[in-house]
Amino acid sequence: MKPSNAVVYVVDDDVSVREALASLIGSVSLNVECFASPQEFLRRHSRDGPSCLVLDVRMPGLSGLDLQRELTRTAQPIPIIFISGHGDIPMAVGAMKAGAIEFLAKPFRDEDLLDAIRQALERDQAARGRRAELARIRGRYAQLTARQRQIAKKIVEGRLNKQIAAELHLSENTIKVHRRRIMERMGAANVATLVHLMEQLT
Amino acid sequence: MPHPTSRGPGKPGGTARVSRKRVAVSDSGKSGTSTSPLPLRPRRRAASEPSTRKLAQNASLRLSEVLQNLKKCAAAIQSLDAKLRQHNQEQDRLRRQMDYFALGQKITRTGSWAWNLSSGKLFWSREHFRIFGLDPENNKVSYRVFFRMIHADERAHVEREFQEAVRAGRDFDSEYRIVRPDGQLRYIQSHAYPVFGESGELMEYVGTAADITEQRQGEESLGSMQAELAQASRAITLGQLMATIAHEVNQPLAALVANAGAAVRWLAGDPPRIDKARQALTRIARDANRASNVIARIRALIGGTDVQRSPLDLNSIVHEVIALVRSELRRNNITVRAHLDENLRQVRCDRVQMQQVLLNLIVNAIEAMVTVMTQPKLLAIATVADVAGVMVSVKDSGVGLDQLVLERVFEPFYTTKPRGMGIGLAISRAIIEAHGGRIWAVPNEASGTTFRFRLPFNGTPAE
Repeated sequence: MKPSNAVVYVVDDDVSVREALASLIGSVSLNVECFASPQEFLRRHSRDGPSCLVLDVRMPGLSGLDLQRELTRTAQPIPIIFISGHGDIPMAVGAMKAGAIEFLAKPFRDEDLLDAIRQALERDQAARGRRAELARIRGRYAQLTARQRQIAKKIVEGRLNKQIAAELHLSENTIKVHRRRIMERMGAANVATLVHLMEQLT
Repeated sequence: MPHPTSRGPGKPGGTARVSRKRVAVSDSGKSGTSTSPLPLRPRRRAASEPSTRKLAQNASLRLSEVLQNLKKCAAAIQSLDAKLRQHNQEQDRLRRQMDYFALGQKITRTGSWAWNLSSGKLFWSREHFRIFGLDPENNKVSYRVFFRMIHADERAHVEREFQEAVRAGRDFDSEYRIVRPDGQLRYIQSHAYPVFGESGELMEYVGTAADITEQRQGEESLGSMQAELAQASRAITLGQLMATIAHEVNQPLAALVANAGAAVRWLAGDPPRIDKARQALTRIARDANRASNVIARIRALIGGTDVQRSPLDLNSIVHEVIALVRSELRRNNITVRAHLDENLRQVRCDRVQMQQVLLNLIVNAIEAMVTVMTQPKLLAIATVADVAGVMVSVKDSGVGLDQLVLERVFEPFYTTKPRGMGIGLAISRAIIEAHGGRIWAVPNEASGTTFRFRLPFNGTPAE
């Protein structure tokens, strides 16, 4: 449930808040790293395991929303929990639309924050799993030859060996050999699995 | 010798007729030579034929007489002609003056009018007709026609003010809107004064009506900008206060709650982490102090350690604030009436704070009247001086508040508005009380509410 390598990043310009959140998050055995500004976070954070970001909205310099945009722009997906000293509804709506997990108005209940953190970490872990899976499929697909990719596409489209052979002016036997090789390399036990894997590549 | 008539007076036109008449008279004398000369010289040349010489002499005498007459005639004609010329010039000048006058009226978009009290007749200048969108040839004007053209919202009010002026024989100044027959709305500014007869009786009112539509519409857009600005600055001041409270207090509160949660969890752990819990509790104490310092700072802010008090004329502040909300009033069809005591003494107060209190009361009054549809919307602002201080009242004809609400409206965070913060009147009260004054609200007899505050001349306990 709680992977030991999970990290919660806290970005808030108020030292009292940083200290309190570090203590609270630490008290439920989670790793926590604090940053006084978005710039510092962008400079220093390292993401290996699952992680999430507890982010103050209003800060001097870059705001929390700026950081959210920057992370989206540079394709560094990380679940974000916003915390704000102002119950600013339009701002919260904007943040949620941009994919935030939660928007908590200060002062928030400690359970609410911890629940949101758990949810965020789970989501990040799932997303990491999906990304890893996708990378695995891509790696396998990369092993196929150009001819095999052509044939794989036709298999997914539902063509029979006979039809594929006719279309590509090859013998049915050749197609059968390619087919077996494709299934092996993609790690697919049957056509249904192959269709599923190929779908994820598009 | 040529005949004198052929020489003629040489004057053209109508003068020729006069000269001909004179010539005719002298002709008749000449034609009577056979009769009239005879009695003059009967003894000298009784029956004898008059000598040609005598005749010639006679004729020459006559001729010179005629000539003399003609000269007189010419002189008379000349003087007549000069008079005629002068008259024409006079008329030209008058006509030119009338043209200039009409042009002036046109350029300044000011028509003139006169209303005779005894005959009841109303006179309008051409420009007045034009401004009111009426054709002077085909329309007759009357007192009734005029008042019927005034916008229904203002008609009764303007007529009442006019009648009051007439009754008192005072000058009449008014601004109103008219609806022209083509449906156009025009803004009119009118000034008039009474004209009295020899024995001091009121004869008539003469006045002007200036079309100030463009000016007002310009002001309206400017005014709405100003009102937005006023609204914004009001929202900023109150909003800033709220933001300060929110941010400055919520920040330590958030830390405080998180620390408390952490302390509980550190203690509940296995093994319990006493050291961590102690650190969290120490931070709780620190954050609580910080929050209470913030509150103290905000109190100091409202309490007025920063305010600048100087002797001020509250009437001028009333005018300033009315100017700020004028377009807001117009947009909501609210008539504003200021009854300001001219003998107001200055009161030591902070200008910005007083503006804020008045703006707050007036904006509340406007909001109370926004939904009123039937009765005329009237905002009455009054200042009254007494021996010890000044009382200001802001009276609306709005929806009104019941007694239970009135008792609570000055409480912080109490509001009757869907989007209100319940802070405006609380701050107003804080400001007035900091000046040693008092603020209260009473329901009106008919409809709406009156808010009053009183500032004493010598009461400044906050200083």
